[in-house]
Amino acid sequence: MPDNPRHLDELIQQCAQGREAALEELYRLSAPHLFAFAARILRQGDLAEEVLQESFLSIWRNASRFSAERSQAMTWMTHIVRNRCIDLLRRPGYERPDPDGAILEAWADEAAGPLDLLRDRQDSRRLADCMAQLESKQRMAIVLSFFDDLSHREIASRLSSPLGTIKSWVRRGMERLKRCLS
Amino acid sequence: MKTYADPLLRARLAADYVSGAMRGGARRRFEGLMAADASLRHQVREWENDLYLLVWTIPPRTPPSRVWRAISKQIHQKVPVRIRNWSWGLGGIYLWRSCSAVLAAALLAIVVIQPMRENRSAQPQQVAVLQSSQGQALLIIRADASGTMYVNTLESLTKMADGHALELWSMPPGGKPISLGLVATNGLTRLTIPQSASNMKKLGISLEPPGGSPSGLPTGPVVMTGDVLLS
Repeated sequence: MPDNPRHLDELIQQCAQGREAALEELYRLSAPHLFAFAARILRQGDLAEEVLQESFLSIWRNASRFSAERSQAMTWMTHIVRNRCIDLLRRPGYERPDPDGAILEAWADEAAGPLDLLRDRQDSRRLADCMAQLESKQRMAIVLSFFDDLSHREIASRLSSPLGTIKSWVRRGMERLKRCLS
Repeated sequence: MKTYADPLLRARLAADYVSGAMRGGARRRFEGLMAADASLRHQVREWENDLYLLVWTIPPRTPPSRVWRAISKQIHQKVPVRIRNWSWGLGGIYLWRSCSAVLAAALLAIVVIQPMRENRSAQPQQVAVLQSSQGQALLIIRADASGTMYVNTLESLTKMADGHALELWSMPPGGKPISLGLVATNGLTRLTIPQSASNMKKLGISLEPPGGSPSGLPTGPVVMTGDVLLS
């Protein structure tokens, strides 16, 4: 993944002009990340494929609505993927396998791995620095809430703390993050 | 609606929504609020721009090549993507279901008044409330900037449909109606706006045979209509 967010912006703009080669390159660069993200949320590979396919059709058809001034390319695409995942989770009868603990493991300790990945990229360096300033339990509560879309009760049992406490970790963590980011 | 004027509460709700801490019915109610509130959408978008970068921390995973093949094939066919109605079940959207015509009218008022006070740079959203010929509000529709349309029933339309499909149309003044897809008789339907219908002024629902109009134009009676407003 080249560390140049502008490049993704340009590709989306070219998609808006109907250039299929631009969509292909956009897919090549971003699909592995978006696919991993969808599979993380849904915990089912085949459904993640469905989401990825629909999301890229949506990206292709709505490329002209993308505004580089307003959103970053990856944020815009992630938004499309995440909302489709959340819709799927709401399907009646949808059964979601239990989380595998990968997020908990990756972000444990001082979260060196994930934060280094963020620092390596120009667009996410600031987020990495601000995440690093959070208390580890706040950081953990936020990423579990974000990736595993857990109910607070689930998070509570996994972090062995009461529900009310976890809620305040997520909220205080987000407030501190906001102060740091703005 | 007064409660939601509190800036601290608004900031917290936006953060909860993006962090994933807000779930289920609360999430859907918040999406309803966002539909009529550009500054709330702006706050959410700012959070998304910051927090969604977390996606880079997940180890990438190459999707099977069949996914790209399917995408490429669908693009070449140049046919509209199959519209799917994801029914969201019975729970959760009680805000909309219990929403009276009065509240729908209040929502309309907010939609009309809001743009005067809002950040002009915020992404426009389109909102419509569809009413029966007797003036009863039956559907609330919003379309976001990604071209997705969310159709919420305000009450069950099963009886009205009476075995027919409810087909949603963009009805350009003096032009031919453009089908936007089929709408579930109960709950929420999510549709993708076709490119051909990007400029929507007026929407309507007609009763059609199961599966939708065979001719591509309304064949049954139009049972509700509404104007599209920018919020």
